[in-house]
Amino acid sequence: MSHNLPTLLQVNNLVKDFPIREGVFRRVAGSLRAVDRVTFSIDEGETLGLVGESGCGKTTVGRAILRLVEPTAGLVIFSGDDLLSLSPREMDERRTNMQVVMQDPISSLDPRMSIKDIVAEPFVAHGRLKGQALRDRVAALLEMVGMAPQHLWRYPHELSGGQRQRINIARAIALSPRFLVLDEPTSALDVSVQAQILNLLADLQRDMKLTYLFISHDLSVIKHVSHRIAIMYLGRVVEIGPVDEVYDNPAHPYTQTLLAAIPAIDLDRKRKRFLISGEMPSALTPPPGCHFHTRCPLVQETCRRVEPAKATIGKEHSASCHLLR
Amino acid sequence: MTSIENMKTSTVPEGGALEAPRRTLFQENWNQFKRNRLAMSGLVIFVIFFIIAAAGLLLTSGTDPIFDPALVRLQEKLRPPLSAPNFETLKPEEVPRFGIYLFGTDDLGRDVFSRMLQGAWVSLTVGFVAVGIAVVIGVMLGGIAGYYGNKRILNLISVDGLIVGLIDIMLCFPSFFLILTVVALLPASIYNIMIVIGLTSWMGAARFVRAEFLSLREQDFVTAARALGLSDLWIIFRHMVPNAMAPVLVSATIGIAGAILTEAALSFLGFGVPPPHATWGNILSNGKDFLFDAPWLTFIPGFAVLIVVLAFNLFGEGLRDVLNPKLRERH
Repeated sequence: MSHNLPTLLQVNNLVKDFPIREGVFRRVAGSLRAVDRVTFSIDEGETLGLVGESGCGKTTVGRAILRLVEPTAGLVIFSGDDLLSLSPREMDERRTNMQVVMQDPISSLDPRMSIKDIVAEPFVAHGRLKGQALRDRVAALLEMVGMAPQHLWRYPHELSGGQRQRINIARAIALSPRFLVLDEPTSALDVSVQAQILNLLADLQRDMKLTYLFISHDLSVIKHVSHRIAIMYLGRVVEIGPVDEVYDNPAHPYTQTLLAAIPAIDLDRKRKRFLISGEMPSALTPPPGCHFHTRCPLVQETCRRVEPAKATIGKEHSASCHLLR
Repeated sequence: MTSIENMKTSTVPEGGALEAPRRTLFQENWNQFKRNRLAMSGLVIFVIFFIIAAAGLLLTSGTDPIFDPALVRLQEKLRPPLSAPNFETLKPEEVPRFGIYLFGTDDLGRDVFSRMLQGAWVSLTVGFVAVGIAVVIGVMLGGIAGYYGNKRILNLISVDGLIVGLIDIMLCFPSFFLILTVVALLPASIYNIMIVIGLTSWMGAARFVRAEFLSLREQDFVTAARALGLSDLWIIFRHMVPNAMAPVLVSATIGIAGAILTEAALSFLGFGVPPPHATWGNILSNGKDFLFDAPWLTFIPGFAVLIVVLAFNLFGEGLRDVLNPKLRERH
């Protein structure tokens, strides 16, 4: 939809290595590449869905963009600023523009703070508001996320999971950010509450012109919320494209197997049954060549040796697979 | 971005119904604590002890104290508790308050009740100051190890490794003998004893705080605070310390009992507070020479130490039960 809008976030060849320390002196013995040269961009007002199995590095991508973990290499450009070249202090000034909502609604809230203190904290800590103005703003934020004002004095353990996640969202939008990383915001909630939270996020995106990076392993949720999606496997983006295009015409074998795994009620639609077995290989010892070759049903000799290049399939749709050459 | 401003703002009435704070966490904890009878009796004894010690400081100090712990009446030595003084041999100013030796007299005819009063303040201050020193050191070192532990010094050893090593080394020393050695070398004074006890008992607090910080650092609410661009100091003091203090508070309460015992033991061995000043330990120490002639000289300070230490332990354990979220009734 938003193809003529300017790019808000550009991520180029983002890499994150976690050092593995061993022995008494904790020397660096090796490294784990959680994110391997990930490249994508997000336009203003758009939602990019980031999908992948547990442990594929999708959460790390979100945190590395916000520099909650320091990326090892790459380029992150947010509305003209090269984030990775900023000093920690300069970065802190820009953090108000980009926020995160995390997966676990209870551990995201300080158990010793009341809801009022949690939502007011961004304003208090940055010295932006106090007194009556602060109280009004906190009440307005609570209303925006659909919470009644009598919850102000409650503590996180007194709220339900969905209410907690609403408070997390209220805190994230408090400073009027432009960009939100939504790190599996609904996967700890039951289905009916998931729908409410997704609708709330959609309303906020419309009202506040927010841009989302929506991280999830739930393909039906991703399809519902995203404009474009990126599929990750073992640290790499294997396919990226507009959501309908990828769902209707998946190019990478991994995407095909993922989509085939969605339980479908639609009986007319005959999808090629495409199953893979085994586990994702360890990121400590990633396989050479294409990361997916150990499980790929269409594996060829080249896949085991050569890393596939990105192949363009359609408008804005590309995938990394030798079979597409 | 003006969307929040454009939202219909619901004005919170000042002082209205929304301002009425609900039960705070403290009140909730207090209600829980009140149900634990042993812990409550510990708290009550602690409060009484505190009042007695504060009163004792006022009543036994100054040039003409109301209860004089240093007044020697050699003709009245080793009088049993509740005995009346021999008014004929005493000058009017030597007659004990209320005209009775409440806890008897010692081998120099000094009033044991006055001396116990004076000693109570010593025990209290030694307990609190020593544990205060230990908690401050422990929280600082534990906090640094837990929060900045990954930083490395000269690329040789991490800050965490260094502090944990220091803790382990300190724990290896039998601390009572370490204290004895240090006290033997330093001039005998109550402040030296407080400092030495404090410097040898911070390891527990440091370990607790380090462990709590290590787990808190990975908590999502700390990540969220960092995402908001809050400073390290704000995160440490507004989020991590309040969440890490519960076990420290519990161990500090029990630590006070330990410090009182250590001071009494030092005084008993003659390394404690210098003689003219009474402490429960040196009353006990003097009394042991007259165990059969004047058993009250050992039993009275002994019981006092027992009751105070027991009270602090019960209070500390009650506190632990209340502050441990796993033992709490939550929904």
